[in-house]
Order: sequence, then C-alpha cells, then structure tokens
Amino acid sequence: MNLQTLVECIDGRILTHVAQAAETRVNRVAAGDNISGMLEQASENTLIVSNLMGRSLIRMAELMDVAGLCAVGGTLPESEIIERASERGIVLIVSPYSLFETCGKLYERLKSEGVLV
Amino acid sequence: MQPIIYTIQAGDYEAGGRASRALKEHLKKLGADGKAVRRAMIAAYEAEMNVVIHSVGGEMKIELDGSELNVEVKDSGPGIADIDQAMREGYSTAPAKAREYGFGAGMGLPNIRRNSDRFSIRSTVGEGTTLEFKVLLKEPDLADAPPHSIRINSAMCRQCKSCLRVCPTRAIRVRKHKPLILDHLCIDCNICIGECPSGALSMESPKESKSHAGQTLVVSAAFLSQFGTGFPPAAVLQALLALGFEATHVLESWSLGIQQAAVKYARRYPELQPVIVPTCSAVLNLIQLRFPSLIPHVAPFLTPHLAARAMLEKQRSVQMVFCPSQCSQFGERAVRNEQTMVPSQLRNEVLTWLNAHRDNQDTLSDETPPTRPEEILRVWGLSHVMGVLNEIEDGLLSDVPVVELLACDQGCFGSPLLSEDCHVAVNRWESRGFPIPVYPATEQTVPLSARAGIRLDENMLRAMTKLRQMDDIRRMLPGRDCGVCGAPTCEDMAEDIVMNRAELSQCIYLAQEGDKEK
Repeated sequence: MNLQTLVECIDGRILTHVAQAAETRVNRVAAGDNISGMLEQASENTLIVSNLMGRSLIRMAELMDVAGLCAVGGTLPESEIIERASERGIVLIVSPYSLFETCGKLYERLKSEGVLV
Repeated sequence: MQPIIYTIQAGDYEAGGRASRALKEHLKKLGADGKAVRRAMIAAYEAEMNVVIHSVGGEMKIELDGSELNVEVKDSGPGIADIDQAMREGYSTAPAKAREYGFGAGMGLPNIRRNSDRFSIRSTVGEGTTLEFKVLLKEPDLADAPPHSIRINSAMCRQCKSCLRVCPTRAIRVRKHKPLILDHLCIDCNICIGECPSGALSMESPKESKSHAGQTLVVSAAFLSQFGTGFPPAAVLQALLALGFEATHVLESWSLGIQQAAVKYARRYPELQPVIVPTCSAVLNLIQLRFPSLIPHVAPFLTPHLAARAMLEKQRSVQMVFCPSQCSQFGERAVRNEQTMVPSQLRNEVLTWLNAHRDNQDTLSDETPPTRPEEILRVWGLSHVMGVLNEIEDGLLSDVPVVELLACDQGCFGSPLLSEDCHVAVNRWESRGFPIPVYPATEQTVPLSARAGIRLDENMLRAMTKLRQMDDIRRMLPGRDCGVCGAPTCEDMAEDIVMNRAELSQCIYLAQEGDKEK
C-alpha cells in the first residue's frame, strides 16, 4: 500500500518529499536501533521506524533506497537531519506515538490489507 | 576498469558511508541488478563502518567488471586478535560512541558474509586487517551462460579437423578457417583440447591468482603425481605449502566421500541401481544432454569441486583456489567464480621450487592413500561411458550396484591438461601417495535437470517440419561423412542447414555435381 495512507494510520506528519510518499509502495516495516539489523531488513519497499535519527540512519536510508524513515515519540529530528533527508530524496516522517505503538499500528494496518511481506 | 580507491577516516561517524555511497553510484551507472546493489551496499557499508569504528583509518578499493564487484577494505591497525570470535553474531568490541550511533551490535562481519558471494578476512594484531568480498552483479544464469570453458584461438588453427571427429557429442564445426563450438551440444569434456595438435583449443584462461599467501588450494591427486620419480606426491605437497599456500586439500578427499555415500545410497534404493556416482562433471553434462531419463540414477550429491567449495565456504577467512584438471570442473558454475589456476601454470611454479630444493626429501610416507569402495564399477573414456549409459537406459545393467563414469582415462589422471601418462600417475599416487582425510558427501540442493540442447525447435510442430527437412537434405548428401564441409557427419550437416548454420553449397560433392550439370 502507499506510504501516504500508511502515514495517516499513525497520525504521522510527512516532513520531506510529500508527493513521493503518495507514490511509494510499502509492504514491510523494520524497526530497531541497530544499523546492522535494519540494513538486513531494508529495501525500497521497507519503511524504517527508529528512535535513532542520526546521520548514520540517513546514510543507511540513502544506500538502501528505503521507502521512508519514521521518527517516533513526536520529536522532530534535528533540522540538519531534515535537510539531509530532503537533499537525498528520503521521505522523512514523524509519528506522535512511541516506537512500540507506532509499530503496532503499522503492523495491524499492513496485515489487514494483506500486503505484509 | 581501473580499481578505485577511497580513503576511510577513523572515528568519523558523520562522514562514514561516503565510499559506499560512491560505490553505489558506480553500480547504478553499470546498470547492476537491484538485488545485487542491495547486497553490495550492506556488505560495503558494514565494512566501511568497521574501519571507521575500530581502526586507525584505512581504505576501500573497488574493482568492477561487467559481471562482478570485488571490494577490498584494508586498515592499518590495530588488527583483530581472534577472528573466529569476531565472526560470531552478537560479539562486538565497539566503543560506547559507536553504539550511540546504532553500531556495535556484533552483526557486521556476519552481515558482510551473508551478503557477498565470496568473503575473506585476514588480520594481524599491530598491522591491520584486510577484508575482501565479492558480489556477483548478475544472477548466475545457467540458461544463457556458455556451458563450456574451452577457449578458441582461431589464428592457430590449421584446419586439420581432428577435433571434428573426436567430439563425442559432435558439437564442433570447422568453418571459415576456424573451429566453432556449438554451445548447446558441448559437454566440456575437453577431449578436443587433448586432440588439437596446434594449440588452437585450450582451457579458458581462468582468473589468475597473484600471490598465494592466505590461500587454500584444492588440487587433484593426479596433479600431485605429475612430477616424476624424484618427486613423490608428498614432496609436491610440501612444495605447494612452501610456495605460500596456507593449506592444501586433495580433491580425492571429497571424491572418496561421494563414492562411499553413493554406495550407501545404492543399498538404500536398490530400485535405482545402478546408481551413478556424481564424480565427473563432463559425464553429468552428458547425462543432462543425451540421457536425461537417467538423471534419477545419479546419486544426489554435489560433485567433488562443488562439495569442496561448500565445505570451505563455511570456514571463515578461507580464500579458495582451485586447480581443476578438467574444463568441465572449471566450467562448474561455482568453481568458475573462484580463483583458479591452470595446471600448467601451477606445475611450473612447483617444478621451479622442487628443482631448487632437491635436498630436503624426507617426505616419504609409509601409509598409502585410502582406497575406494570395491563395489563400484569404474568406466572411463567417453565412448565406453556412452555405451554403458545406453545399457543402463535399456535396463541391461541392473546387476551392477554402483557405476562411476569418467570422461578421461583413469579419471582426472588422464586429463589432457596434465602431461604424465595416466597409468604411471595412478601407480605413483597409489604406491607413493600419502593418506588423506575422507570428507562426507554434500547433498545436492538443486536437482540436475535435463538440457534442452538437441531440440530443433521449441515448438514441436515446427520441430517436426525441420526434422522432415533434415531427412530430405540428408538423402541429398553423399553420406561419406568426409568432414570437408566442416561438420563431422552428413547428418550433422543436414541439421546445420536446417538450423541455418550452413548452406548446401558447402558440400563439395554436391558442388561438383552442380558444376558437371552446367
């Protein structure tokens, strides 16, 4: 399903590349705080949810062409990170819910749509 | 393409990933397949971050050709004390700062190994670590890859046409003054190489290895028995280790395991007797091409080279080098992607060393190599092999439990790539060889499949029309099988004409008659 619809279900805000979000298909979500684990999961149809909003995460998103990056807990990433994401064509999202709740909602939604890979 | 080198700064978490980023651009420009790019990125980024996190700085060297990516990531210290431990998932020595950035989960090295097609790591404490990995940019596709590894040097061909007659599957044509191999028929048995007097046919030049340090060599007993009375197999082994190879394995260690496994398999499934031992890859190619109905008789184990690769691959830090004694072994997909050495090249290196060290010969062993199970009927020479396969197909050989079919005389001992007489070499190995371990057979994961090589057309109706045409043409041809047209027999010529590979006027007899009529 498309990223924009998915963002709506977590009451999220798209910070960069809004138009791109409507065209990006997501069939998997990977969450975590270790880069190696997320690297293994990442693909162009994967939304990465993490509380690790640093440069290394942006780099990973860039290298793996992920569908989007989602920050959690309602905290906006630093402006430098938003700028980088915007420069590199990465859809950056912020969810008002915690990592746990965000993932729960995303899981339910993708599962009910039957697109979960 | 020239290698590209990127410097990696230690401790620069902010910039870490620049080299990987640049590599990605290159891969995209090459049009590499998405899955390959993804794997390359995981491996490259992990390797790059390892240098950033753990070392005092280093570099990433990238080599790209049309089909594969080779990356070497080297740092200048401090080195890894225990690589085995470092390879274990979850083990990490990353500092707290790295963990803040999301690194240091102890997944890096296992991640690189999982996402590359070849991986090796060497490290010396106080000097540094060198990590190498390879990612194949195209999925190895059996359908469109040439099935053989025979190299043709047209300039050397004298058009003697010896190869034409000797090819067991009649896959060779000599046209326009040069030999041509019909890929769909070639089984890579390299009989033509042995027969060619001019050197126009030889083994495809493999990826040569530069230095032997840190490499593990897989070599056949036949190779070890090539060096005359003065240098028994054990002395050759010693020479190989002295040349810098870290370890050597004798291919027969795997062959023996496969033979034993095939004997057990035959006992368990008596209805499949005779069970065929999957030793010789040229014979397997032949079965897939000409005797697909016998595929169920082949014991479902990997051939010795593939088994060797499967076993060595599991060991970390092993950089494999194969010295195949046959083209088909080199042609085996897995081995083709490894470093290989042609026997003649390795032979020269060994001979030079042996001649320089004539004195230290305390290497004679009292024990001899293990012997193969007795119940195996061994058949060699492709004409005999084809005879036996015909018998099995006709159900005439059910009193034999296990057969081992080999393209070359005495198995690899008679390879055209080796020079010692095969019977002498076998005797040398059996009487003066040394004991070798027997490694268990590896089960095949992908079953053998039939090769659609000899079909005239994918569409059966069209194929039947072509068959009729072929028959008509064959009746027009003189039936002398003279080979002047460049095809081994008139029947092959008829097929070539139907398949647009030749024209009727290339037959000199028909051409002469045409002249008379005029």
